[in-house]
Amino acid sequence: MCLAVPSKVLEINGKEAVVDFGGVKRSVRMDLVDSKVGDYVIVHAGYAIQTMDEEDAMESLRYWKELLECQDDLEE
Amino acid sequence: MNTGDFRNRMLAQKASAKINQLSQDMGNVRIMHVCGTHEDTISRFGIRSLLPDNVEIVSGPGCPVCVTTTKEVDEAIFLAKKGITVTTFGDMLKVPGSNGSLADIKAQGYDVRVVYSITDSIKLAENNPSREVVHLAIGFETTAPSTASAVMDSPKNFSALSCHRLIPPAMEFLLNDAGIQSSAKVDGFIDPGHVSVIIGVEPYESLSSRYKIPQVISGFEPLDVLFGVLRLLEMIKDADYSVVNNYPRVVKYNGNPKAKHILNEVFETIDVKWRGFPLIPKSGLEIRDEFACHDARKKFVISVESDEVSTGCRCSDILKGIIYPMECPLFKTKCTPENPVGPCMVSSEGACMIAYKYKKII
Ligand code: SF4
Repeated sequence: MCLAVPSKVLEINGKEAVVDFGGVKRSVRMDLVDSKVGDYVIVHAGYAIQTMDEEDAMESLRYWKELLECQDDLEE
Repeated sequence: MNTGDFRNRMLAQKASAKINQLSQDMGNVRIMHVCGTHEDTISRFGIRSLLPDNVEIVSGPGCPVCVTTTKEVDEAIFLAKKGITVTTFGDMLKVPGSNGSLADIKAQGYDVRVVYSITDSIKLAENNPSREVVHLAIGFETTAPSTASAVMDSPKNFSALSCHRLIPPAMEFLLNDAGIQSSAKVDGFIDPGHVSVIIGVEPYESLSSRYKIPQVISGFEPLDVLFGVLRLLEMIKDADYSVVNNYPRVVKYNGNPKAKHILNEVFETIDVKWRGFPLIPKSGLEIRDEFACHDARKKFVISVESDEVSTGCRCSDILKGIIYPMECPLFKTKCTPENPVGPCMVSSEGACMIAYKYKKII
């Protein structure tokens, strides 16, 4: 199962990192990413597979909201 | 960051209203997703109930446990019976082989262990240098890089039984299959979010242009899926046969180059059978000869004679989006999570298990 919720990187020791996943500390491998402490990462089967781009996350929501506001305008 | 925003009820209702409005003058639309986690989101949040009657979402071959073949389960059982420690993810344990499951032989005292990550398996090998440890490695492009990374940096007594498979070749199989195209034609794909994290957008693009099929890469929150459906309807209407990345917060156009590099270094693509499917060209990953010492199939002589036992299970139709779980006569009667007949009722990513868990799926 894919974990949709990102984990926050708390500390990095070589190829391993401690992340906060919804309040639970977990150890994950960092072989596949170049993330820094403080980044949010997507974790799959014990490996961080991508750093989440917060700006892009906000952008999607803004875009979706705009799309729907626009819909309301059309209806009015 | 607040991912709760991606569950905003008001936005979901508005999206659903727009979907209903947009689909009014459309014929029947069949959207397929190819990811067990998408099925979970869709069922858990009742997304099918928000869609109009002429728009349906069906599930495809997106459950890694479900598409693992009887033969692969038999291979793992064969190794465990030779006294080798076999590790795998929890969902694989109850999947039936030709003659019982890994759970059955574990109960008989053979050394089969459930791990959360392949790193646990490596640690087990490091702590037990006199034992051979084999990891039954299942999963799509999302999981395969972790196996590749482990294989590159593992002790002598560790090897992997690669059952990794690739999603785009399976999508192409469905688009090519005359039977499916005539009876259960797919009009658009919701592409799997975390497979796409690794492979990026490009591998889907050639499918869109060659088969005239729109695709939207989506995340796993309810809004991700609803906006994926909305976008697909617009694209179908506009005959826009392209790939839209609706999950840019983690999916980049080129995917994860580091992971793709490791994948390519350790694996080569081969033709493999998927459960319920015939051989799909270039859809499997085999460990390259350079790493033969960590490839369980090259390290050990594995001899299995596997039969596809006929049980009445309709997983093969479920995995092709031809039927819904409740259309299988065994669903909830003879087949339950406690006594699963097929793998779709074993895995947390299996459509039958998900339908059972959330009671209704449409
Ligand atoms: S309900 Fe059980 S028997 Fe029927 S298709 Fe699903 S897993 Fe197979």
